[in-house]
Amino acid sequence: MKTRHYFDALSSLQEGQFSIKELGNRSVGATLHHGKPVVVLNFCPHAGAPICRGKITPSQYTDAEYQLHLDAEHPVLRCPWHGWEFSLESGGLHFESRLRLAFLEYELDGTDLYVWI
Amino acid sequence: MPKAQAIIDCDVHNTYRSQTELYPYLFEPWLSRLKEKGFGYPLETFYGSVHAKRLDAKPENGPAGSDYGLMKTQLLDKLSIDYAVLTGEGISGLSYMPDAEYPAALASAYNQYLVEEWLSKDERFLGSLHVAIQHPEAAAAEIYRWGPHPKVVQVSIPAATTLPLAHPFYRPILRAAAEMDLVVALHFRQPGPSAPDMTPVGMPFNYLDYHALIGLPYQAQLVMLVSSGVFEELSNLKVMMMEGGFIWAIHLMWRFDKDYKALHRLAPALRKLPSEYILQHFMFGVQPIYEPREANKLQDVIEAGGLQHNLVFGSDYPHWDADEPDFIRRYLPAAWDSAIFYDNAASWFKSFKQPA
Repeated sequence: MKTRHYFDALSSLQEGQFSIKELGNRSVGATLHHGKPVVVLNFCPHAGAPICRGKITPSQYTDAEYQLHLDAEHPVLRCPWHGWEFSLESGGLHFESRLRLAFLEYELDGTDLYVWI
Repeated sequence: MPKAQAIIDCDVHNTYRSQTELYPYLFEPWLSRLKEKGFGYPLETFYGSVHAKRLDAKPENGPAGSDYGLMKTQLLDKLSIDYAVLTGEGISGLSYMPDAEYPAALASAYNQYLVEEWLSKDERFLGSLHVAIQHPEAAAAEIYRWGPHPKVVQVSIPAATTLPLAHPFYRPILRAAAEMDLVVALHFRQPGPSAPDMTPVGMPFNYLDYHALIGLPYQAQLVMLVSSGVFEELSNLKVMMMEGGFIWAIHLMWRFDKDYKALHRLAPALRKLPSEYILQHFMFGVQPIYEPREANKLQDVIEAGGLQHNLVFGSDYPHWDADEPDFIRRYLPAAWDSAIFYDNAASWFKSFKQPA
């Protein structure tokens, strides 16, 4: 059964960087993406790294004309171990895989962020 | 509760916090040179789009691998490592410097630093010497100097060399290692200014190509070490190939045996098939573990070549592509746990042998 845990004041979250808390024996990371909270389990589904210690960085893609683009609007979280890049939006990788970032349910109570685990 | 599988980690990259930690072990004129110019040559070639080392492994006051406390927490204690072979970091680039005396002096300083500042810190640590292979006499002298140390178990050599390791030029190094019962551990290095090309078609374009092709120099070394007959001359010579993969070794066993049957006159020193030397004188690191889509296919491949007694675990901590034991276990059968995580390495390292 999930329980509700206090994470932090919403104002303490930052764009481009995860805050990490230990909540109920689980390590949890939270950041802001375009002003909205993103809350994930601090655990890489590939090999178990503390993924929120990785860097949030613009995604890279090539368009139909093979022009290279960096896209800061759609950033990825790059794992601190093997460098796998997970979309902060879909949680998915740039190659076909069942692996996803584990997004956690959260709620805002006034100016505070709570996480359900 | 059953006792957890004992683990020997054959590849842990320790390093110094800064070059000043080598100063007490270096003599003049090399000490002044290190102070003034550092190593003096760029030892990194490729730009990697990912960090070279795990971001969570960097201590506040130095590079990853320089802090014993963090290594103890993150590796030894967390993963219940029983023995960890310290393989150094960056220092093996010495073998790619153009000169000979300076890198030999640096290697000597590093080895003493390793023994005094690392091997003494934790009972679980074992040591890997570093030598400047362009100066074989000095390299052999280092091996004879530290070989008797009970915790020194191997000597690190870069996988790509300007001449084949089987060439007589390097024989003093191999002979010393065999005589002192040290394992010769091949690790790849990024090619510095005087390193050989890593591939027969020139330099890789970038770190991705380089990293995918790391196995190439290992294959060349393995073939020529076997065909040269050096294992008949030095029956105790043991070569551990780390991080270069191993599926290609199965290709080579089959191809090399086939060719040898027709062309044996070109390898007159051999007394048995090449594959028999390979299985007797080579071990291969399983990291970075192959990650096939269907995990159990890896077992099928290894069994096809009968390689399960020639594989050893090395985490490669704190490098970016390091593997933890449980991650490797996803791709290998539980029945091989004891062989790969402990027995195979223990059968080679002199520290695990009963005194005669």
